[in-house]
Amino acid sequence: MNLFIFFLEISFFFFHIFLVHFVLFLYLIKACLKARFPDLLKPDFQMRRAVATAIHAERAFSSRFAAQPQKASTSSVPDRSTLEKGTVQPTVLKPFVSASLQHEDLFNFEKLVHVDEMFKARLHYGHKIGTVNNNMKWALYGERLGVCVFDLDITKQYLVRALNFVAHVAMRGGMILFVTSNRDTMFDVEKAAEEVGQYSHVRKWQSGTLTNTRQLLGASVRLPDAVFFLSTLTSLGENHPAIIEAAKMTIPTIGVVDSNSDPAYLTYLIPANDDTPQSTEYLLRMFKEAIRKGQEERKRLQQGGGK
Amino acid sequence: MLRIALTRSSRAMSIASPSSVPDNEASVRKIGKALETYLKNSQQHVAMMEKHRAEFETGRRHLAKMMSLDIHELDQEAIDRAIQYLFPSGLTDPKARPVMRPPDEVLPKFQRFTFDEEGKPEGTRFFTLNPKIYGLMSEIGVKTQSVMKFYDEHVGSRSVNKNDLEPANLSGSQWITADKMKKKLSEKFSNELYAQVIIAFEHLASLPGSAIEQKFLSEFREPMTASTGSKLFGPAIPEVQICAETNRRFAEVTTHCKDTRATVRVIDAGKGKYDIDGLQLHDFRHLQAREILLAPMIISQTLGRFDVKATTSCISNSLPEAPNREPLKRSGGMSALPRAVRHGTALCVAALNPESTEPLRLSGLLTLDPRKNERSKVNQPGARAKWIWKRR
Repeated sequence: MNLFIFFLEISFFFFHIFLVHFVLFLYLIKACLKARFPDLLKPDFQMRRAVATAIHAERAFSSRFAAQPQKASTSSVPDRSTLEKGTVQPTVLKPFVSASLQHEDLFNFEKLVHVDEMFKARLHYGHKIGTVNNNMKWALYGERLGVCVFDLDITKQYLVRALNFVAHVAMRGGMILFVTSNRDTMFDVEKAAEEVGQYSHVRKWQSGTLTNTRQLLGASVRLPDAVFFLSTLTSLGENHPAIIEAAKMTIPTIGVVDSNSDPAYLTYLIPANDDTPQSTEYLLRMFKEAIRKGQEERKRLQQGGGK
Repeated sequence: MLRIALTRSSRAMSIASPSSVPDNEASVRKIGKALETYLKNSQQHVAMMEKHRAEFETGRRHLAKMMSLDIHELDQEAIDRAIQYLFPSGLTDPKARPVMRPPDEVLPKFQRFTFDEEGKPEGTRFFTLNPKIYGLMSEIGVKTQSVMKFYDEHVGSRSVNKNDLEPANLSGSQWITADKMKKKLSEKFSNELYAQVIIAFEHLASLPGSAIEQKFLSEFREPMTASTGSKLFGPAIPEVQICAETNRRFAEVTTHCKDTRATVRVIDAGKGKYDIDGLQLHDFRHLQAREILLAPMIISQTLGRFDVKATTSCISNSLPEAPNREPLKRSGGMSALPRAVRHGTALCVAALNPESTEPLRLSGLLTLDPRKNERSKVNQPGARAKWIWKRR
C-alpha cells in the first residue's frame, strides 16, 4: 500500500514539472512570434482587417464617396496616369464608368422581390446544422429543429444585387450560361434558359469547356459573359468544376448557395435554398424576369439610338 | 453560314455605354477577341483552300497532257489510274501510296459555327459541346416525365383508350446504331453518350403509357431483319418475292455444302411438298437425310406450310478447267445434298416467317458450313494419309 502511494506521489511530481515546462514553452513561442509578426497576435487583428475591407468596399461603391464629377467632363476615356492610379485606388476610375452603372438599383428590383414571396417559396430552408459551411454562417438567421434557416433580409439584399447585375449584362447584349448539376431541376433550367434566349449546361462538365475551347471546339469562340449556378454543388457534394474555370477566365459568376455550399470563387452570392422545386422555380422566374427587363431596355436603347 | 457584319456588330455592341460615351472611333474595340481570331482563321482557311484548289486544277491539266487525255475525260478514276501508272508503289498500306485527290477531300476540315451578328453561338446547349445528343437526352427526359404524369392521371379511368396505357410496342425492331444516330443528328459523340441515350430510351419504352410516344420512339428504331443479314456467316436472308402466276409469296436463295450447290425456293401457303431434283421426301431412304430436310420446319413450327423446290449441282463440274482437259464428271456427296438444301430452306423460311429468325439462328441453321474436301498432297495417298514406311 505504501509503495503504491509512493508511486502516485512520484508521478504527480513529474506531471507538475511537465506542466510547468509546457506553459513556459508556450510563452516562449508566443514571444518569438511577437518578435517576427507584431500584428498577428493582437486579438482584434481579424476584426480590424474586416472593418478596413468593408470601409474600402464602401468607398468604392457608395455614392457618398463618389469622386468629383468635374473630371468626367474633361474626357470620357481615362488617360494613362489615371489608369495606373486606378490599379491601386479603383475609385478614381468611377467618373469614367457610364451613368447607368452608377445607379444602385437601375431596374428597380427592390419592388419586385418580396420577403413573404421568398418565404412562401421556401427560400429560407437550409440543410441540417451538421453540414453547414463556415463561410455561410453570415447569411443564417438561426436554426430550428436542427435545420439552418436563412435570414431572408440578407437574401433579399443579395438577390436584388444579383438580379441587377444580370439585367445589366442582358442590357449590354451579354451571354448568360445557366449551370446546374441537380437532376431534379435540370429540365426546368434548360427550359428557362431557352425561353430567354440564353445558354444552359446541365450535363457532365467536360474540363476545359471554358478554358480550352480552342482544342475542344476547333476554334476559339465567344465565352459567356456571366455564369449563373442554380446549385453550386455536384451530387458528390463537391464544388461544380465550372466555378473554378469561370474564375480562371475572369467570368463573373452568380451562385445560389445553400447552407452547405462553399461560396468561394463566386462573384454574386444568393444565400438561399437550392433544392426545393418551389424555390428553384421562384429563382428561375426572378432571373428570367431580370433578363427580360435587360433585353427590353436594350431594345429600347437600340431603337432610340437608331433614330 | 457565318453571318457577321462588322459594322452591324459594332453598332450592336455600342450599347455598352448608352448615354455617357458617344460613338466615336476611339471607343474600345467592340468585337470580341475570340470572334476576331475566329474570323481571321476562317479567312486564312478559305484563302489556303482556294490556293490548293488552283494547284490541283493545274496538276490535273499537266496530268492530262502527260497521259495524252482530254481534260474532260480525266475524272477521279482516271487520275487514280494515272498515278498508279506513273508512281508504281509496292507499299502494302493503301494509305501510304501516292494519291492525287481534290484538297477538300484530303485536307482537314475547318470547324464552322453559326453565329449571330453579335458573335453569339447558335443553340442554347452550345457550351455542352454535344448540343444535339444532349438535346435528344433532354427531350427523352421531358417525355419520360410527361408519360409518367399521363399514366398517373389516367390509370383506372375510362376516358382514355386502354392501349394508350400499355408500354410502347417495339417488337421486330431495334435501336438504331451509333453510326446511324450520328448521321441522323449530324454530330459526333462518344460511345458512352450513345449508351446513355439508349438507357434513357429503354427506360421510356418500358414505362406503362409510353404507347403515346410510339411515334417518337419509332423514329429511332429500325427493323431487326435488316441488320441480322450482316451478322450471318454465308448468304444473307433473301428478300420475299411474290409469284405473278399463283400470287403466292416465295423466297429463293443459292447456297452450298461441301461440293454440292443448291438453289432452293420455298413457297408460302403450300402443303409441305418437297421437290429436290425431282425427288420427294420419301425418296430419301436414309432417315437422317429426311430429318435434316425437315429440320427448319420443325424448329420454326411450320410443318406443312411451305413447299420446297430445290435443284442441286456439283461445284467442281462447273469450275473453269484447262481447255484441253475433259470436264470432270463428279457428283456431290449424298450426305452433303440434304445439308445444302437445309441451309437454303432455313434462310428462305427466315425470310417468309421473320419471327422464327432468332430460333433458326440460335440452332445454327442460318450459318453456312464452309468446310471443303481437303486436297490430297503430292507423294501422299490422300490429304493426310502417308504411304506405309518399309525398310528397304
